[in-house]
Amino acid sequence: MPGITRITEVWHFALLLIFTILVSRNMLQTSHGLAFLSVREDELAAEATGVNTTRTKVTAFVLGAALAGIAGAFFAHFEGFITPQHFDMNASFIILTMVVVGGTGSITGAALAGTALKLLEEALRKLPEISAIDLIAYLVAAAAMLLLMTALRQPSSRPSPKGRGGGRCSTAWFVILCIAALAAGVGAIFKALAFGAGVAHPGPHPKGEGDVMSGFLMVTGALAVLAVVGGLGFGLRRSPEDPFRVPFKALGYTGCVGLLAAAYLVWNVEASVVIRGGIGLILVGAAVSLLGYPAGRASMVPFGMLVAGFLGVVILQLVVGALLHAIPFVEENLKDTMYSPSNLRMAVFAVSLVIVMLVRPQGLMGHHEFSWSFLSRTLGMKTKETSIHS
Amino acid sequence: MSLLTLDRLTIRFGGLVAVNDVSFSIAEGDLFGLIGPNGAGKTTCFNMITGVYRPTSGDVLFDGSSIVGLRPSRVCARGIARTFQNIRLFSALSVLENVVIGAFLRHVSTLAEAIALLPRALKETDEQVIQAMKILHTFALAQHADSRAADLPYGVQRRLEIARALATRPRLLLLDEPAAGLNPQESVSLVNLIRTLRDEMGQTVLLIEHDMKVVMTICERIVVLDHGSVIAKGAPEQIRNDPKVIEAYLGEPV
Repeated sequence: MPGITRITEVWHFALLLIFTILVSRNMLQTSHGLAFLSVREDELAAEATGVNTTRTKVTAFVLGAALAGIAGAFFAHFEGFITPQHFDMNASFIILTMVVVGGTGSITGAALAGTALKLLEEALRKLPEISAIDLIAYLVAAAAMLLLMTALRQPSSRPSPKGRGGGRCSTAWFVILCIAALAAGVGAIFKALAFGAGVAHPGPHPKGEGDVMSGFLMVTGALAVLAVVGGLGFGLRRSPEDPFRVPFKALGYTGCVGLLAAAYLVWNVEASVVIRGGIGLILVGAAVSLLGYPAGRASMVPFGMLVAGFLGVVILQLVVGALLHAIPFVEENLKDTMYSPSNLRMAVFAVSLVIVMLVRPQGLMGHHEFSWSFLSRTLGMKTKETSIHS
Repeated sequence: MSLLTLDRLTIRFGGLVAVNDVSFSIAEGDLFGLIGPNGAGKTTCFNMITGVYRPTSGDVLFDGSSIVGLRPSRVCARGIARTFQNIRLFSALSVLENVVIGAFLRHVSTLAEAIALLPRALKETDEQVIQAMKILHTFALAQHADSRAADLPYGVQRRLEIARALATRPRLLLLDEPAAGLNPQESVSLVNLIRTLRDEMGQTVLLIEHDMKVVMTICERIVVLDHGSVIAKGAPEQIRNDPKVIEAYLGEPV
């Protein structure tokens, strides 16, 4: 339907956003919102407690449809035309992903996830094309590491000699992981040296990129190698029955340095200052919260496993890629096939959705509305008696 | 004048007659027990009273008028609240929120008022929260007010479920095996709690229970169901000595 007058300005959307958040927040603040939540939690119990579930569900539907309708009207007057293709399966899927990833029941979560996924979509548009073989290699590597990590998280059936903590992962898995991490570290250093050489002797790499990349890879790569080798040595001497904790912890600390280096890297990327600053701040914040708070330090081992997972994906991808190139059939058929990342965005969203559903089914921010009380708890302040304690 | 009357209540699921021709009535202020072996139809009776199932025939009279065919939330609004055999709390919500939802059915402010944050809606929410805190204090749950319902110990969850049911200010409280899974100590404190409800607040209670000690100590009148039919009615002493009950359920005199 063409020929709609363009009267919507961008700030109209900001206004609508504020209105939407206000409506949802106000509703959740009163007992009406609680009635909605009760239907989500347990329909039978809600009905038995006097909440008319049918009415509540219809109200939720009407409210959601009304807000979506307003947004649609704004959209039509912004674009100047609308077609059914604007609202295909992809659109509904993206919206659903935003809500589920952010946390069903958390307004902050939905807003943050919406922003993040939209930024991701834009970022994918800027990435260079990727060859089919590389893509397959990455997917295989990621799937393999995911399986490996899941296996590591399962407590081993073998009883531990001391009955605590031991046998968190079997030795075979750990050796494989260490070899992968070591190889990744060595590879990273070699790559960093190559980049460094590229800077010294101007070649295909632009100077700035070579600088940043080499610094980043050099620092984290060297630290990863040190962490794994040193940590394994320490771990084997300190607690032979469970030698995995120390290297994973060390890898976790390496990962923190990596986060800082990545923040520096992002700051040097060509993008708007808001995006650069935002992502950089998130990375620095993650590193600080991991290093600075007891809870963060306590989670260093799982974080180390995460870092190991990333390193593992990088190195496995190189191996799998080389293997794929060696297969004549694959090489012949897929040599020239390239994918543009922005066409893969639905797949990226689907994968992120699946991962969130597996790791934290209630979404990143959980079922509950975000509150700052965790901050006062972390800082050890006494929480203010809320008005409900009268 | 009886508060609740079951009149020849029958329900069939296909060929199975789950509850057959059950009649009894409960007076205001009664502590009434409904017992029977597993599968006797006790919970099915509860479900028919509260509107979850619609009886095949027969009638449920509450305060003189039939409540058959009303949806559960309407039955609750009439003044019948219940708990569940397997605890059904709103597990991700806080203890306080669970109880506030119990007060929701008496709300007068509309959703539009709530969204616009008009004073009436805010005041009402405040009042509901204050009421809920009072109930939490009576149930010794106030120190848990902010914790997630799912994080509470089992015995406390049972108490919270009763607290939530009471927040609807029922005239009749239906408790489905409130002592199930409690240790003897918790069970005693639960008995005291139910006594207090009746003696101090005049709460009428209908209770399904397996723990014979609980039933015999607190219930003044008991109905025994077996295979969907009433096999005995009366005071605990009568039930204790009824040969049919002993055969069907107790196995030996208690």
